[in-house]
Amino acid sequence: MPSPSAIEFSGVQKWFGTNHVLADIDLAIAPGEVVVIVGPSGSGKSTLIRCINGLEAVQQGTVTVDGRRLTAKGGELAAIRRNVGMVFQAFHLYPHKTALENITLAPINVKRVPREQAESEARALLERVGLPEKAAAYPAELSGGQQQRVAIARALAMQPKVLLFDEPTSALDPEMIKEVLDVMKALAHTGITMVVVTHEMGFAREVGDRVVFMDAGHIVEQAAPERFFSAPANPRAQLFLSKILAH
Amino acid sequence: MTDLGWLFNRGTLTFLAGGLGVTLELAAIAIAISFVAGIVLALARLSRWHVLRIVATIYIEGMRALPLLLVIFFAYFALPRIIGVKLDPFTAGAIALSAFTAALVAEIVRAGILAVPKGLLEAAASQGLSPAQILRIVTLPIAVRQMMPALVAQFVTLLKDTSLTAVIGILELTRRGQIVFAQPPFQPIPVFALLALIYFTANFGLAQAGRRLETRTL
Repeated sequence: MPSPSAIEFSGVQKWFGTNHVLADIDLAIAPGEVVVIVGPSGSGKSTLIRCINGLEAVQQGTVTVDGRRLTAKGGELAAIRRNVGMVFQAFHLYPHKTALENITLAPINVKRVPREQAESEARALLERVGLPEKAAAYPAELSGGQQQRVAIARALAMQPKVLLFDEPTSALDPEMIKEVLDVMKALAHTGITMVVVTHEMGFAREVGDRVVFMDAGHIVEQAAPERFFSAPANPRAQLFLSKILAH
Repeated sequence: MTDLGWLFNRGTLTFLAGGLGVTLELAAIAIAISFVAGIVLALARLSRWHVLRIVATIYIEGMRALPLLLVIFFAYFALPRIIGVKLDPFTAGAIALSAFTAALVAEIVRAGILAVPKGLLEAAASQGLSPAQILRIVTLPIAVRQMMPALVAQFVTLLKDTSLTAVIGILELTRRGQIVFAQPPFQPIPVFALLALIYFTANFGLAQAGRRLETRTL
């Protein structure tokens, strides 16, 4: 039975020791949807999206991506991961590879794309994230914002159906946040499914199709951004928004 | 004293140069073998497989507790009786130096691997790379660059320690120096000075080569 959802959580439970980090998670994300996950620190946002590509395993319930269930098995997991790109808070570019090599590494080694083709695609991606002149630069030679844009290009190089963002701007200086958000905004209109954990409420409001609010491992509220930001229903969401939007 | 013709003549210098050749050959073989074996031992010690981990740990900790001289004697006198094959001094010396240094390299490699940020491995895994690919393309290259200074220091020590193989009759540089000053005019000081200069030059070159590898990226 094919699932109409790009990503589906069903009855998911996860514990770190006695800490119940994901509780009764049911969430269906449609193809092309841009879902923004917000909530206080430690509410389980990052853990939630790390379950989508199997960086974390769930203890109960199921997570499916494109109708395929995530299990801990090597080959099947790698097959799912090929379709799910991820962008991390701390970039995690390969420090011993140039920007271009960072982007071509997975296509060449995982998808067996010929080097020449991978490189021309990588150059097109660098163009797309606004860094065509940085192909030969090593990560240490790039600013934080530039590194994160290369990391986005690297994730896109595998032509994923789903792109996960784990607080992509939290490690950046304020003046670099915009350049990364601009790239993400442009992506949101391309039809790729995006799940974004962020504290950038402006981004959530402008680009998100849906806001999911988490607190203490639960999904407490989900709504269209307009409604969530103007009239949150849940008291904990109200408290969170009053704190984060106060200044 | 001023006439050093007894030292700086073609015959004596050729003799000493031959010793340098033996020293460098021994060091090169031991560097190559101990580097590869050290990586294998480090991976075994980090393995998920319990038995492998214990075997590697015993080897590494055991070898580190022994004097190198004992290991050299063992390789020359005891090992042939165990394996039933007679070993010439050079082979026994190469085995001893490789086996001894492998244990030390293993600990350097292990520290290097553990120092690779976990997030990099997650990034690689999230792109669908297999564990073997991650090790080969991400973990080891980054680890080796980080551990280059410690590794070069270890290999400099190894090059110097080749002189210990003189005790099993290998005619390497130090042993040949000894032979030269044991003959008329029996003057050790010029010989020692020359040997020191040669060792210094060889190790300086080794350290420079290591530094070049180190700064090539990162």
